[in-house]
Amino acid sequence: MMNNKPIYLDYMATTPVDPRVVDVMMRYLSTDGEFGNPASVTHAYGWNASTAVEKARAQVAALVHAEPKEIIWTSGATESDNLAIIGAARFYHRKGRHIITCKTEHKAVLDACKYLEGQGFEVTYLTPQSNGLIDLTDLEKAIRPDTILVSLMHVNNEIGVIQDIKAMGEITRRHGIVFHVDAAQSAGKIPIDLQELQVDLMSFSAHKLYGPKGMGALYVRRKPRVRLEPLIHGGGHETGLRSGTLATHQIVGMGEAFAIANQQFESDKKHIQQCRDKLWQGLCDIPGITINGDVNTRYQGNLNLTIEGIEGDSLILAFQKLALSTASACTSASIEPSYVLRALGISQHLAHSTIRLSVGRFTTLEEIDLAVAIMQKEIKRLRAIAP
Amino acid sequence: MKYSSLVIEHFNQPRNIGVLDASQSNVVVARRGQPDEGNVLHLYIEFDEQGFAQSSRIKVYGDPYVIAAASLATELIQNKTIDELQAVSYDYFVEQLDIPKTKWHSALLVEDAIKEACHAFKSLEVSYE
Ligand SMILES: Cc1ncc(COP(=O)(O)O)c(C=O)c1O
Repeated sequence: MMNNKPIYLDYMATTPVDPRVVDVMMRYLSTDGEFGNPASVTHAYGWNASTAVEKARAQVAALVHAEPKEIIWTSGATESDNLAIIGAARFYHRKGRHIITCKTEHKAVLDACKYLEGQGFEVTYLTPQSNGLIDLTDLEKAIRPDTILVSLMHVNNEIGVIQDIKAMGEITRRHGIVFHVDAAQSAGKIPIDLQELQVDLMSFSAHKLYGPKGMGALYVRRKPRVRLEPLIHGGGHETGLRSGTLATHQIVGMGEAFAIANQQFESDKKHIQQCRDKLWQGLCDIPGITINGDVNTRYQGNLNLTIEGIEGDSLILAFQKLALSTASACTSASIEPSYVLRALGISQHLAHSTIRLSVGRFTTLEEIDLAVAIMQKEIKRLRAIAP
Repeated sequence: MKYSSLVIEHFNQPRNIGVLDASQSNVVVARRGQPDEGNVLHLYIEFDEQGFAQSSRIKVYGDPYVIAAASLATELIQNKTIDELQAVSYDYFVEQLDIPKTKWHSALLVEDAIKEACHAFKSLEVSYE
């Protein structure tokens, strides 16, 4: 199906809501649906809404092998990151005031850490290796007696590299430090087993996985128990961790999206890998194109490419028929080139000539063929006019 | 970034791409910009015996405004005298192409290249005498 819209190659910025998810969400909105407040305990409207919310909680928990009770609803991964980092720091501050994170984290993590620096906490920002992966000995070395929290992401939103959160969790657990992982880009895309991982807090977002925007969750481990200070007060919802009337339609949307991702995990993975590989095969023979981030240890749906010899703004205009990102979507508004690429040691000049392509469930092989043809033609054309 | 239709037209079909034989006595070349600053322009102009710019060619690397302004410049240059060329200013490109203030350096690069070419032509004339 083709129309005049650009080919969507920006699934790591956001995804369309799966039509099956929309169907479910619609049943929780209006007079003919279960519109009740899940906190109403006196009538069936409330009971039915509450049942739906708990079903969704179990669906989200099932995808990552957690207990439903360990899932707290939030407004998105940004809020989850804030609740995890600021909430843990405020609860454990008597134990220590040192936090470890990484320079290539999402701004939701970095800015929450920056906020805590203003509150008297100290933050160590690890520098990843040039392939984007963190050297575990660097993590181990950064740990101090007063370290209370380590926050490191699973899949990086720009370069797609996968951090070894299993090994990291073993280190943090050995030192008795709370470990938070931002899994907004990995949930439903690469396997996550919280029975096996020694992760204490994990952030999720619905809209990166064919669910609605403005919806997320935070996993809070019960065994061993992790404690947080809430950021939002008023009514004591979500065991006091996140007050506010639950957004039933959003929650069931997230639940359904996670259930679908669970159910068709293998076929999604295979399709996305096939699209990404075809895209790369179409581009890899063009000279002066390099992949940023480790080539093997990366999410199957991401390509982060530096295209030498073409200025960044010209790249974007030349690829107008393609919807893609220069830096991460959240930072595209500013002209400063990607801090993630800069942390890998890529020059400002080359960082500017870098694009992120990300494919997803609804990408078609025909779209990939078309995208490859456009990119090949435009790269050739613009390089030919250069001195 | 939203571009005007004229920018997009010149960007997609830049005029007069190429080089001229700069070893010819009536051909000058100006080379401005640095790749790591984001813009490079090579501008070739051929003059006829009366001192009119006969034709011009460009090779250009940079953002869409530099490409469009350089392309537009090759149309402007045609049949101009040295004095007329020396009077070409970046605001012509800013106006024609709706270049935002943060990108005015792109237009300045083209003005500089034209001025450098004029200068080169004048030193050619001097050496004739
Ligand atoms: C790694 C990562 N963390 C957090 C977020 C923020 O998620 P949300 O949009 O749900 O607040 C994003 C999305 O941009 C992300 O990619």
